[in-house]
Amino acid sequence: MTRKMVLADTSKCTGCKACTVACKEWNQLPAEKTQLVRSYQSMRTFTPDTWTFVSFDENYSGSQMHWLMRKAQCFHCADPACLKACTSKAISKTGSGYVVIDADLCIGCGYCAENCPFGVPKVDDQKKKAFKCTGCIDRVENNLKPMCVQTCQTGALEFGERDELMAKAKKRLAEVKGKYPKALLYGEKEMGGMTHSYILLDSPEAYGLPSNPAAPLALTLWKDIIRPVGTVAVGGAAAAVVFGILGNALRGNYGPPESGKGGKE
Amino acid sequence: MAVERLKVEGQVAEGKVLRFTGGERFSHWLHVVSFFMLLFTGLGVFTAGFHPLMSLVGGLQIARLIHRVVAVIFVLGAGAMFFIGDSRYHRDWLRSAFSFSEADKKHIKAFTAEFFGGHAAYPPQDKYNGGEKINSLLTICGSAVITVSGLVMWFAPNFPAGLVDWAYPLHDLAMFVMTAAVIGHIYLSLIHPGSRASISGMLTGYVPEDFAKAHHAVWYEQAAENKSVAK
Amino acid sequence: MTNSWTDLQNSRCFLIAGSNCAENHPIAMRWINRARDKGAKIIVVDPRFTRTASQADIFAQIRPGTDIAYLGAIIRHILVNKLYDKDYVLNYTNALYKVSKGYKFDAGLFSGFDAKGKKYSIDTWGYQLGPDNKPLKADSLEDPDTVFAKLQEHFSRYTFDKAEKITGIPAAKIKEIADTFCQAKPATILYALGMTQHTTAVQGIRSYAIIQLLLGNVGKAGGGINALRGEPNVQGSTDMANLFNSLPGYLPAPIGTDKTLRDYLVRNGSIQEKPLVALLKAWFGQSATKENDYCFNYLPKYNLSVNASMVRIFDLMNKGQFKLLINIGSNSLVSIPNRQMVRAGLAKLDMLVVSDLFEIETAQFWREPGVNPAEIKTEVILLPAAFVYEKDGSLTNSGRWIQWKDAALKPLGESKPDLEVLDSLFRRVRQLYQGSTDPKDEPVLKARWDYGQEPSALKVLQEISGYDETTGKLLPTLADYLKAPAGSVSTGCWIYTGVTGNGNLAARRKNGDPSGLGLFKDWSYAWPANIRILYNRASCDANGQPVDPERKLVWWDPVARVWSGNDGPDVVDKTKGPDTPEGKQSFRMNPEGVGRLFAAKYTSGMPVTPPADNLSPIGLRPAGLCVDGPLPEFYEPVESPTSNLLHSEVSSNPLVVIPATVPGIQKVGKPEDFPYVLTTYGVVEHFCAGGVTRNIPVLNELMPGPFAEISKNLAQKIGAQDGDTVEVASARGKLRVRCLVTDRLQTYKVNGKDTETIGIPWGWGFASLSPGPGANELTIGALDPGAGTPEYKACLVNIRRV
Repeated sequence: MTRKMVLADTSKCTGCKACTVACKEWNQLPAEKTQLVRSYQSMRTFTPDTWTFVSFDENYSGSQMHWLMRKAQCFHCADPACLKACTSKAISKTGSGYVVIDADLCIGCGYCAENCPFGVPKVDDQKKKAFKCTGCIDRVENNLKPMCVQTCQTGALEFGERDELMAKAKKRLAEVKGKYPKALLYGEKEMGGMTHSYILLDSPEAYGLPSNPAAPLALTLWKDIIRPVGTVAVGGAAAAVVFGILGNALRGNYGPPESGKGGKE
Repeated sequence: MAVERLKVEGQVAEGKVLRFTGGERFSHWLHVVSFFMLLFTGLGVFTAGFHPLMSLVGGLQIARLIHRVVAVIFVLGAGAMFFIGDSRYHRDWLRSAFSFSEADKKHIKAFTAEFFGGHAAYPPQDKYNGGEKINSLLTICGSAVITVSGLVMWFAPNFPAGLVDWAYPLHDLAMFVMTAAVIGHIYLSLIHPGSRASISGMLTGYVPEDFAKAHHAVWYEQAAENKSVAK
Repeated sequence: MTNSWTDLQNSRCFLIAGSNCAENHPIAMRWINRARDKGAKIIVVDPRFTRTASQADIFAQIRPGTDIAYLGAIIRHILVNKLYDKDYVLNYTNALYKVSKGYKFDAGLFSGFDAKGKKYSIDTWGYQLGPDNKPLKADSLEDPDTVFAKLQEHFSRYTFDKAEKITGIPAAKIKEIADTFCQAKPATILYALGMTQHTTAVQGIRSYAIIQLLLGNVGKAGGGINALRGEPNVQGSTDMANLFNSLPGYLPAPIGTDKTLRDYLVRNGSIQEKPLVALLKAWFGQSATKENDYCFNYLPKYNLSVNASMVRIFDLMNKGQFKLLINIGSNSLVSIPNRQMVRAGLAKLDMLVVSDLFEIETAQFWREPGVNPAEIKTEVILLPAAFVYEKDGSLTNSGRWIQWKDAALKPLGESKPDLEVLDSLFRRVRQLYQGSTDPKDEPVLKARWDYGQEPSALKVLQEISGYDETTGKLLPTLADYLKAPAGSVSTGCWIYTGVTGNGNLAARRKNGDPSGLGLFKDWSYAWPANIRILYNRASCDANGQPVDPERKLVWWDPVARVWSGNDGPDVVDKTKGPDTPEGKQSFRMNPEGVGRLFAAKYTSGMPVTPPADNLSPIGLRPAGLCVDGPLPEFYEPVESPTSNLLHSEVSSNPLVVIPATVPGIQKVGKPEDFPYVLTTYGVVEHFCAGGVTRNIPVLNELMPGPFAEISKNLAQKIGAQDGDTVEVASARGKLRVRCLVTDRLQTYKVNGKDTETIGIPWGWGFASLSPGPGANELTIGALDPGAGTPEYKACLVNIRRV
């Protein structure tokens, strides 16, 4: 399947939260007890049962009010930190660009949760599994739009081929910049290019997003250096033992069993 | 009284010298058992390839539970060794691991050749030779790192995210270091023809007198000097 | 809506004032965004920076209830700077009509005010009539007697500065709004309850009508005045007469003095004869004959001096007027202003029947915290109602599209569709009356009631659509109804005629849109006659050709000599060209045939010589009237922090109605005690009074409870922080609620004085999975004198941190 994309044009989002309900319904996720966090936001963060929510940020300056609303969910990175962190091979990437967790393989260790720069995956302590937005891969692979996109009434969410939609996003960005000079496209290159991308009206920080998201340095060090070097080192130790035995044998050190003397010639 | 005296390190009886007291051996084997259980269950969590093996302990989630329980034993055991048996020997061991003499350094230089069955000259060694001290150091440092990082991982929500990020690679690193070290340690203590005699020290407490003289001459001489020799 | 949801995409500018459509009509944003993609501008005027405001190019924070002040300034701006569409104004409005010499406006009162009766005698609000009883028209707009001159004079007081002092919107911003809106053509106005829930409701909408008529925006794609209706079927229920003073199809309801059909026609014009007779035929079938006045005497008559609108009903209930209330599809205890009045009223009933999905607040009023059930004598019966998806039927949307739907699910448990409940109720009642010879029981015994053993919603819609009573066949189209002689056809609601005439047109789902204008004329059926944009004759010039080449709706085909187009032509007669009097009429439902800038008293077709037998003459069609003035005038809300800057002696609407049968039940607060303005509203996460949605966990999760929105200044003043509990009190009640401190509300100046607005959503109550106080604990049941709508949107409160 070709690479897909969901574009969230925040200039068209009114924060109606229909996407959130649609997600819960399609994925049969139970409601949770909430209270208002700030502004009209009721969900503080992702949970094993909340895979998408709308964040609300109020920016008032120079007698201009900007009410920034953003549908948060897994970005489905091309270069996903969660996948890299997963020690159980439970996380994989599809050709269509979705990053999915195989619940059968997941052991709930939470390394993905710790390493995602956006804090997306969350471990259910009871089920001992990590959960996050699936991108509605079950729908996408059956030629349906993701449920959130299907539900969005304002046209803020759009689903399509990544190449086409990214081109459209750039065109739209140029229009949006007229009114919001700080507007930017988020997700084209970030994390290797994300399947869920945004047109943001302000800096990523204004929405609580990192400007330059990256897998933590520790993760890279761990997975790209310590892991291979460590494996080689343990293998090396084992090999050294084999050579040690061979060396001793060749030198005849294992002659008549004379405990205590062998080492000294 | 007599029993007590016999347990004193350096006692020589019937061609054997007491190298490790009961307390020391207990600490060692507690460490060994818990380390391997941790390694086994930890590999299950850390590496997908080991998942199937976890059925041996009743599944992965049990393995994770065991890992936590044993981790507590691992840490408490390390702490307990300063309170059980003759704790001064533990303190001596700790001190020795951090003090490297010229003789130790020379032993380390000769270590490679010795390891592969060759021979290189080195001066007489103390109770722990240079190589053993390296092993001790790796164990001590590795245990410290793996304990602290493990704690951070276990109670991640109570620590800053940046710290938690670093806990994983450090835990992994310590595991690799200690695993590599233990492979060499097992070889030297069980397989290497020149040093395998030392295993009896950890099993019975006593090593052959010849072995003590040959490998730990300084210690043997001192022990012989300081202690009464019963023959 | 004059237009439709799908037509919004054609607009170049939106004035969204009195509507928070992103919140309450989320679907609107889909079509508005399509227009925005083509460069349309959005102006939002609201007491709060709303979700809709987040999409606006221009936002203005207005003091609740002061809309007419800034709209008046816009009207003045249009007139002074000659920004009006002159051709349109001359041809399609009553601008040139000469107003009666006696008409006057002075110090806040129109001529004819009766201070004692709190009403107007409206004789001076008419036109100067010629000998043919037709209005006299001036030759030019300069004539001082014209409607246009009256308009200029009336609005000359509404300067930008004055508007700023009243509304709190800076004058420069009002000018910016005026310029932006006037420059864009076509431009549309969207409103909802934010505009209508005031004691100046009707006049506020009249202001919109004047603006849109002056700018020539009515009858055009992308233009119009669009009332966004609330519940999916508010439009449908209004069409079916959910108001006490109308019958289905907006026929005036008979009053006590209408002893005969003729009396009724004297008041309402001969134009009402056919639809009323058709309605009586639908209801009483063969029993309705010419000889018995088509059973006109079976119709209930209402009392003009009571005007039993919603609030009034509960007011009268307090006096013990009612024994039984059947409460269906309304959570009255939550949704009616000054709810203490509702609670007290319900306790005076012998029996209350509530039909709903859940045990809503209204059904358990007797166990509200603080109420002693032992003291309540009312017997309460709760009928389990089926949900919207569990029943067949049609819903009529704001764009007047009658849309059929089939039941998707079987009703849960013992719940039943409303139709089944009402059907069995009626049949059992009729059984009880069986054998009665009392004339007052005749309507029950003679009603035509044949919707099948298992009542069929389609049969109901067919009755509404109409039958040829001579053959018993369905009436194919509206034209067939119009052609037929009175008494030979029946329609349950004449404007719906033809919806099931040729198959169930409401069930059509073809979404082809060949014109690209979003007309979708093969999707469902729009009343009347599938016309998607009302008054579309006005989109053409005097020669009947479209003014806007990009948005051609209808046109006169001079070759075929017929009106045709992409939309159904809204003309008197399709064969009457623009050179005929009928072909000139762009607003055929008005007696003048033109749009009314000035709501004059007028009846067309009045005979020059009265009937010989001394009977009252019957005209053809009387004009709709506004009881509180032929032109909009700004009046303060009943509870206001300031007095009226235009005329302090007449501060609020002089005709305002404040039902208070029981003394003290509807107290009015003073600004000294209650210095802040409260406005109330809904939230997108919940629906109306929340009877359903507050019992749905995934929705409670999205909006877990009510709150009071206050500005940072006010928060500082009362020492409250976001999340603290505050107590908000009005003269009528108080509540405690979480406080939400926000920059979306700002302190503003009214006549130089700092003023604060507090916002509280109203859709909460003590029951459900998400209980909480609702704003109607505080609101006032003061009514617009014309529509009877309560002033939910503005009252005075005080606030303190708990």
